[in-house]
Amino acid sequence: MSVTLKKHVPIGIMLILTIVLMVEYFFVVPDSYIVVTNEAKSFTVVIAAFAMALGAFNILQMHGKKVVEKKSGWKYSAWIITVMVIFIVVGLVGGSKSYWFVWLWECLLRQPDATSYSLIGFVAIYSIYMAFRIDSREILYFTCIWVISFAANAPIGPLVFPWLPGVQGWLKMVPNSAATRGFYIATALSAIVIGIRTLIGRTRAGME
Amino acid sequence: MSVLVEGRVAGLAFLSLLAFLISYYTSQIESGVKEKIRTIPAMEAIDEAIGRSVEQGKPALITYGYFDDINPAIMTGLEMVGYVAKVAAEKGCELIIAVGPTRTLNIAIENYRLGCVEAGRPELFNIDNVHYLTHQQFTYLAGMYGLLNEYEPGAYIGIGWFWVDAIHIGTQVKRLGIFGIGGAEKYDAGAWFLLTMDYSAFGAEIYAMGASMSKDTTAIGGIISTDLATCISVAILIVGSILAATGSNILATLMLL
Amino acid sequence: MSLSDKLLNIQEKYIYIVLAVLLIFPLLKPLGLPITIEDITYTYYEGIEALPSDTLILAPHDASTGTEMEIGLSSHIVIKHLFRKGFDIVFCTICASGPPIFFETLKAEGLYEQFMDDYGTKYVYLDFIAGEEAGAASIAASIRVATGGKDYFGNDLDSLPLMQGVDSGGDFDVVVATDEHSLLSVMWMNQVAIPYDIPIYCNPLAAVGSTFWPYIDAGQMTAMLIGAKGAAGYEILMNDPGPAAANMDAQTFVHVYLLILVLGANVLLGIKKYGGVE
Repeated sequence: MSVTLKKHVPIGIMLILTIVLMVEYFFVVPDSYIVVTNEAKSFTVVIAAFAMALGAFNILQMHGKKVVEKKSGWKYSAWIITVMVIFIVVGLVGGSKSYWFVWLWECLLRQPDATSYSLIGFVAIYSIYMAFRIDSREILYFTCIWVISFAANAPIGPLVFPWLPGVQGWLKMVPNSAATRGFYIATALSAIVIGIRTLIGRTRAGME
Repeated sequence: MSVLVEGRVAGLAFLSLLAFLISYYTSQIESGVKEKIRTIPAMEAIDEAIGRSVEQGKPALITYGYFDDINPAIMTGLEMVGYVAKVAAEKGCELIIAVGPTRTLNIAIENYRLGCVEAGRPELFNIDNVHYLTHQQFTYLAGMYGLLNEYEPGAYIGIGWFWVDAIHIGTQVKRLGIFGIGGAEKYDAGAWFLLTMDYSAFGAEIYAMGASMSKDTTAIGGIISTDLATCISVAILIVGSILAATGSNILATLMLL
Repeated sequence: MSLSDKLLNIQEKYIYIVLAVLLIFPLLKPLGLPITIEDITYTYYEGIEALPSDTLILAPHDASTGTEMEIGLSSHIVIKHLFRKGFDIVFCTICASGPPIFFETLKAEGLYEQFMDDYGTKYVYLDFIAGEEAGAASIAASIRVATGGKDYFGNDLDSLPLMQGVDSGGDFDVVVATDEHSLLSVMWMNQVAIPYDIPIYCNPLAAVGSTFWPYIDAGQMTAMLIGAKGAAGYEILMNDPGPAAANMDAQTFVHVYLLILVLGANVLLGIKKYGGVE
């Protein structure tokens, strides 16, 4: 595939669409223009749906290769592919609202996901126990603020120490908000620059 | 009749200023003007991390988070995969890549391959070293635990989009005595990396890492523009606060134009 | 190895065993420990209570299987409140696992029949829109373009009385993000609440809540229910204590346990370092 098709055409499409959408955001435009931009926004919905399908294809490709070549852990890959195919077939035949699809989703996705999320709570306790060991000033500050916030968040914390919510509230609204705002501003500016770099094709991610 | 949408004039002005600054500094750098960027310690430590892995005869492990979206942090992480792959290939170090997001799996593989090719060691590219872990946060975390325990790498490099999993990965890295470099866009994840990693970067620093790594003139011009724009934002905040304290809302009115 | 070293490097299984006991015990034998309600929970409740009965609400229900255990507690009680107040509500989601969890929530709260009986006149469900923030932007721009003109059940939106004259974010009075996976309510804030200057209520995870305070302070977000504790407070305000309130005993125990662990570890470290005691 030529460089023009692979690189310049996608960048060109991105640039045109970005300018079209930015003009609608900043300038007063006629209704006919808004119809065009609404369609453009709906394109992203379609593209996102296709990206999901692309993800499924990636998984099939990667794990299929593992199964065919019988590499280490191929049985897990075979299970992933089996479950994926079952979901696709049941979804296509009965629809995503059908009883069997929802039943499969409940048993094979929802419960394990909820379980893994819950189990991580246990790991979190141990991680915090090991991480909050005061051996430097930064960890001392972290630990002090963490103790105040955590105690205030405990359901009976404010009853045992009535001053806790006030201190926690000040921590939330003053230093936390100030630091968060600073981060949001800096991160947003950097994100705009990355966006501009992407628009002019000066980034590796996805352009090769 | 107004041409501009009410309330967005200041935003347009600021965006135009940023675009002007980027193009100005990019053209300055392209015409040979040398601009110095502060070295990010986490960036400098990557060489050290790979070197340690080579000395210990262990692989290095890199990941860029789990969020299944092409956002700036994930893109920086993907660039980092290419850069670290190149450094690792140059030093003859095996690289393990843990991929969370589904959509960027192919990009990560391609960047890894290109990194090996650019280092002149295409034979070091091994697709079996790429492990897909899903974009579900805690399933990704469980997968990371598995990889860290299975490979016990000499170095862990995690630059990208992390969140609550940062403290868990960080603790595990610390427990296993792995040399850790962590960087996250989210400030709370960055703070957890600060607690647990040997080197950390957070917020806009990871974008500066991406820029200094790529050595691209636009990237460096972007970093300088971002810093200037941040200074302007801070100046507006300070002036606005003083004016608001004195009872004047002229700046607030201007910003709301 | 000295005792302090053993305690400082204790194997995780012992910590997990104690944690499991502390979690299970209050669930089997509730102690009825007191629960405090945060100010922001009051703000949320009073805000919803004060809305006129003809308010048109956009209610994104972005449930995820992983976070549903925590956020589901607040989403159940908020949806109950919205139904009790008799608002007109348009539900939607930008999370793929949203639809089944939404209907399960309705059934669990005994609201499914009411939802179906008044469907089209008081309630509409727009189905899942892919693309996360792009999906939210698309809904804010034009619901009919984003959804292809159809709702979750395949009905033409133009045939539904509630959707007459309703097509963009600006046609709604309030956004109530009834379920929240990760940062999706920030996307609704960015795409609907701020551009159209309408209030937004959300219920983030406890881990996420701290990052939303700047939005609350700036007035961009009206109120939030933070995690399970917010849900428990809301249940008490609704005079309808449920699973969230029941979980608070266990939450109290775990909070106290972790505080003891961290403070105890640091005290031991201090004694080792400065006391010279093994």
